Amino acid sequence: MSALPGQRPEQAEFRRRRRAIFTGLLTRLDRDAAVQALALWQAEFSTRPVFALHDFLGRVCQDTGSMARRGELHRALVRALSLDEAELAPDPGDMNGAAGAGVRHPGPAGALPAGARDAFEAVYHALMIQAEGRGVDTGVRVRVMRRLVSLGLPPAALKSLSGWVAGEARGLPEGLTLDTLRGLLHLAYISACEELGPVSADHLLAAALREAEKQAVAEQYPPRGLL
Amino acid sequence: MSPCRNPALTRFLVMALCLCASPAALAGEALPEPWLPALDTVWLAVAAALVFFMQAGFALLESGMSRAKNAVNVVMKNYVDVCLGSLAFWLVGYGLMFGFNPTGWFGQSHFALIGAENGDYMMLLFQTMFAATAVTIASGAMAERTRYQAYLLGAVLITVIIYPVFGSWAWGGGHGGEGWLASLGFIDFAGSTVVHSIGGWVALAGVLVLGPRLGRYSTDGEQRPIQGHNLTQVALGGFILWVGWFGFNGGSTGGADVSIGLINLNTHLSAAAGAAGALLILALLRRPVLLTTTVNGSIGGLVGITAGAATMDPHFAALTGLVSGVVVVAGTWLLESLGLDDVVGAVSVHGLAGAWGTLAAGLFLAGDLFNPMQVAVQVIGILAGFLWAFPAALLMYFIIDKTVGLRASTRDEQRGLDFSEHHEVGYPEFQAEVLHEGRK
Repeated sequence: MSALPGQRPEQAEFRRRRRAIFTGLLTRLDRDAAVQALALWQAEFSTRPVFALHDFLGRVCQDTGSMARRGELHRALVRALSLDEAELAPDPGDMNGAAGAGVRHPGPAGALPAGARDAFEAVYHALMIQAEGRGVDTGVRVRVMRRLVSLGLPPAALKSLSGWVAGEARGLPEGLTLDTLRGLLHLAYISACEELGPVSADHLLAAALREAEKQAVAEQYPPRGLL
Repeated sequence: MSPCRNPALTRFLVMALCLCASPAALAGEALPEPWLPALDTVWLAVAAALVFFMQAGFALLESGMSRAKNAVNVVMKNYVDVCLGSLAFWLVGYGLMFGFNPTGWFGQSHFALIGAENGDYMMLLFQTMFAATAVTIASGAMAERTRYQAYLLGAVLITVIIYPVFGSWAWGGGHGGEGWLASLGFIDFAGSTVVHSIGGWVALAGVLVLGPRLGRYSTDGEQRPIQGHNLTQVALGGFILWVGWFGFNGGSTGGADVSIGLINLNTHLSAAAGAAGALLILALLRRPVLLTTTVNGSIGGLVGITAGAATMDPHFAALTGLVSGVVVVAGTWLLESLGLDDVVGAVSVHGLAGAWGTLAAGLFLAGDLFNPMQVAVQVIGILAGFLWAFPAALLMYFIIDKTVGLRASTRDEQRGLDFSEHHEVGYPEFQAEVLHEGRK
């Protein structure tokens, strides 16, 4: 392992592992998906024990819809982790920027498909109308706002999203990824669970999805893709 | 069609009967000596199969009490913990529990059945089923929010350490030496404490480390009941457990014996009284009489009588069961008031009813009723079980949580563990689209 001048051994080791993971990912994913998967690894798995590689694989396969190739990807990662440095792909650099921008999941979860934004707004509004009918809309809003920081957005994006959740801004902020939208819907589900209990929250979410599916936006992007 | 109308069939049945019955038995004589171990083995093999069948009961009951999106996960945990647990018990647990026990604290021989004699094979098979029962108790309590791999790791550790070490105290010494509790005169015939309370205390530790399911309690402590998805399945699971218990208690004689009649009658009466006890307390308090509580009451009765099934008169067995039913209901309410989330009520049914049953075995000991010395020994055994299993399991689950992660993510709870942990669902016709976009 060769440390760069002025680099501590643990930094060098981290860099080598990042290159190895990237090398393994590149053998089974295209470059964009591999970069985004690496961002996920750096943000959530790089400091966890070695067993966490299985969880990382599960997240990558789940979000890229490639469960059937999990074994291949696992073997590729394990093989890459044992390669000499000379055989590893070049270091793609720090992934914090990608993770910080809300690109936390690889593959299709990172990009925002056409119509996803409208579909999200339809589901979210339907859910809030359902919550209003149960008298818990304010509670759900407040709880979602308290949790927004968990989405890992930059401060400016966080502030504008917070305004939208609070009902102060009309339009959903630009530049959000599909993963962020999924995360936001999940926060609404958690908040509904806390306000009403999990069974009612399941009903609320299912009713909101059915309502959104009746609307024209569902033709461009299926609302259930936001789950 | 009656066999009498078919001469060929009649001849076949008569021949089969003659072949099955020994000449000695047909002549009304006692069976010769070599037959006795064989009959014992046959009975234990049948009993082991009955106890194994209890796994099906647990799987159905626990799965039915969980939501549909977690049904596969619950069944998989029940299925695989018996598989891994059986291997682990053969390799380590059996030796630790039943091996040569000179200190009274743990066995030191017969690991992987090295040095086994003929009787050990049957003994291991039968006792493996008990170990599997103790392990699987925690799965129901921890359902719907536990990561699969982390649960299985815990199950193996329970099988190789927590369960057999306590077992060696109460039942150890089959190959020399004696467990320290056994030497005090501790009565736990088939494992109210050894199997069920230990499983219950492990479940309690798991529930504490995990925390409640998402939204189970509001921030001000209000409860949100989460109904199971299939109550018919719960009732069927209860019936299967009841059937299996005839092997659990009846087989604990260690052989074919006339005492099995009393033991299994006591078992049945206590189960029936357990359900009656649960009904009674619910009716007295004007609470809804729920199927889940009724089934749990009968299982509490079965757990309660397990310690004293062989040493109690039937009317005391019924009383033990009746009180067990009340203990199950009260215990469930107590746990809920403490904000604990035990999905199937395992801590009350196995932990608390097991403790009561062990005490009852001392109180109602036939021929020596209410002997304070015996009751004191029983209390020591109950406390020893709790003080060993609960902290050990608490530490184990804490370490698992900090290393591999015990709790599933909230997103996995939303989608259901069937999809997130197993990538398949129990009811694909309506679940796949609703929960996770139908992705494979």
